[in-house]
Amino acid sequence: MAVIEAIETVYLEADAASVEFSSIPATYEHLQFRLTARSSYAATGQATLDVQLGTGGGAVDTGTNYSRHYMRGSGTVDDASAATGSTAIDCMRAVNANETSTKYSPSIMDILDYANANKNTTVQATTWADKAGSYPELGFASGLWDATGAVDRVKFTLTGGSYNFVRGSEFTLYGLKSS
Amino acid sequence: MADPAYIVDGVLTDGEAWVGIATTTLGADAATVTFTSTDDGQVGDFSQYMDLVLVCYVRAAYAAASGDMYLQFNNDTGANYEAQLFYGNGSAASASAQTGQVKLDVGEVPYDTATSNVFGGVLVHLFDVNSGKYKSVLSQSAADRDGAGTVRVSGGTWQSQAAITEIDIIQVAGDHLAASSFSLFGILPRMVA
Repeated sequence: MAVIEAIETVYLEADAASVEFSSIPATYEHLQFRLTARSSYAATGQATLDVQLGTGGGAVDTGTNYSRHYMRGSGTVDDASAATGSTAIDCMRAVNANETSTKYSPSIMDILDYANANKNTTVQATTWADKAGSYPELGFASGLWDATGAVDRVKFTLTGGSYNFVRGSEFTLYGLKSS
Repeated sequence: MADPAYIVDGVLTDGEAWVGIATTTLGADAATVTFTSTDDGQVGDFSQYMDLVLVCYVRAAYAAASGDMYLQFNNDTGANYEAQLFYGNGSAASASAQTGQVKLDVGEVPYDTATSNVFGGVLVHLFDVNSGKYKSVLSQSAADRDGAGTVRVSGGTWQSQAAITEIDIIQVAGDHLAASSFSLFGILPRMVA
């Protein structure tokens, strides 16, 4: 039996407003997303890459039930921020369309004990948006979904759905087993 | 030629997503550790993986308390690497960016004057190594020197669309110390719909 299994890979052949993983089986201990993403927003810099979670076979929760902490290095700037009562966890970044066309932002996001229906769900993520010149952004984040349902759906958008993921963005969901 | 493990009786399967490619544990000090794709369709062939992960436990022989560890890809020594570093040293956090570098900074490890037998961990994720994208990297390092040290998270880019076929691991100065270990894993995507 494999310890780490690739559950699903989504490779965008065309721009898309969101990427959603549904019917995630509850047969793993933990989940990990590995992705490289790029935003359609015609600007330099990066868009926020947001996460929403769902349970019980329904749609993702769009209520103000998410929190996050984010700390970053950006050029010589190091700082940290937090948000509560949000409609998504903005814990990752994706470079915008005016950056070099072959740059995509890598991120890793872990969801621990996602199938446990007695614990609020937390995520942790690391992300990198390589902006030309000054102020690239390297981020390390945590997120909380204030709900105890077993996670069976995960949705990714850019800045609340304002922009598209560009063709070539790629997302893979892995399941980690402990036994 | 034998099939890769994910092909069973001629049928594509999704088995273990992380595949151990190779491990090098140094028997003597060495300036460079190299992993090269075997290009033969077997476990060591980088072309079959989506991502690569490098796990290192390292100390260097140069006379300093600690120093930075770097990667170069496909023997590219041009000014094609950039990185964003974010680190803490026990009392403060700080950040710095690097552009136009000839090698990619992926972390900091203990050097020769650090407490004896202290090695540092460096974990490097290399994304979409066979795509036409610039190659991007996320890394974490821990150089705890028994009362001093640094912890770091880094992002990096190799400004090349070439598939990664070789990884050279070097220190900013001096050799990797004997007993340092380096393991490379290949990460498969989901292959069966």
